Amino acid sequence: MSADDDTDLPGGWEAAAAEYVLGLLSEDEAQGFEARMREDPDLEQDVAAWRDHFATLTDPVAAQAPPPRVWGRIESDLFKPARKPIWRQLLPYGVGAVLGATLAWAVFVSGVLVPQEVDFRAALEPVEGTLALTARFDAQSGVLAVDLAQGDVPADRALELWLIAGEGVAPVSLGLLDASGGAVRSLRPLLAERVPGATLAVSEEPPGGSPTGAPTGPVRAAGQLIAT
Amino acid sequence: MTPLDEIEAMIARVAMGDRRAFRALYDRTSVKLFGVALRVSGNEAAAEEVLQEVFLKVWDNAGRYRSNGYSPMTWLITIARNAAVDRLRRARASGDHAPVSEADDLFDPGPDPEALAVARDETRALDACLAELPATRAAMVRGAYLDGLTYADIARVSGVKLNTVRTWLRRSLMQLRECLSR
Repeated sequence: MSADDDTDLPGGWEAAAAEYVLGLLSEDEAQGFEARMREDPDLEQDVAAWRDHFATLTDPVAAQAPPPRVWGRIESDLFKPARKPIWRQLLPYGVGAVLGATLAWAVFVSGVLVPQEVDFRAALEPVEGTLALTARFDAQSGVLAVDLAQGDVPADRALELWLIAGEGVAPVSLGLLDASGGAVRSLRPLLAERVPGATLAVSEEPPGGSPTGAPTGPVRAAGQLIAT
Repeated sequence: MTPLDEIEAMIARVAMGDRRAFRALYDRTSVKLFGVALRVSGNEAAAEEVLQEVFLKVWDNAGRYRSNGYSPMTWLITIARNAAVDRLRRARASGDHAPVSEADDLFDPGPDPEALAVARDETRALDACLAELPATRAAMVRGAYLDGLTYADIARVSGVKLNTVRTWLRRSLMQLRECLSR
């Protein structure tokens, strides 16, 4: 939306936010709107709210099971042959190869991307009892996922997950495991920074979790997060 | 966990390349999203392609999902609706799909199917606020979202100048915004 348009149309950027979600802006206007939205959190909030409201227009739409072949196509698109990165699909092959080599060289020389480890894994081995779990942490998205590998979740006790960032550092609670012994957490950046080399531990606690903010019950399993 | 929390957790796992979670997410949401794609596209073959595109996008962009307080279904429905509308507009532009015409009942909102909807709070809010608009303006909003109508489509069908249509609709959207924030 250009400044010119803005003067003779009612509603200004607020109306444009709804038009944007409905797809009523021209390409140029949509780009202008997106640029504006990046600087204006209120506008971004407006867009999120419009999306939420307009999505309810699909509430009365009848659900329908897709034919099984659709999943088959998705799976073969994504997983069957090694999937080319999107820029390789878009560029003619020769250009892609040259650009790829140039990129690889640039990355190597500048060192920008080389040391970036994005994935951490931990095997939490039994400490007291037989409980074992696996954990993965994706540094890019800050998401930590924990899965039960072996043992049972006690029915009358809670299992609490802890991040221990080093010797002598107080464990930070990452909350309770769910009934299936799993957990997914989105770690705040400050916490995520402490993941490399940290230990994950699971302690048995009263229902609702540790009353003190530190582990009070026996440690059932623990393991170190290691970059893969 | 509520069902929505579960879907959010599935998206978080998909962001880490978890194929089992991806399949679970598909099993949980494809029926709704296929319904949406079918509603917008109006034909099964197109809806299948849309659904395929939606899940490729979900796989590639799950890491960019932020819950920001709204339902993860909103995120998925928005992807499905936008993919279906983009496809529909390309088909209309290339003449593969009948252009919008009076037959699409743009200005006849008809019996209100929304009244039959499961009464989510937001649904009630949007319905109640759309009901405060003149019926033709509410139909324009629904038509833009569910049928991918552009200002040009609305202008052609209604015989009203495009700028006038736009001025009307923007006023209506502001009225809607004011009503929704009550």
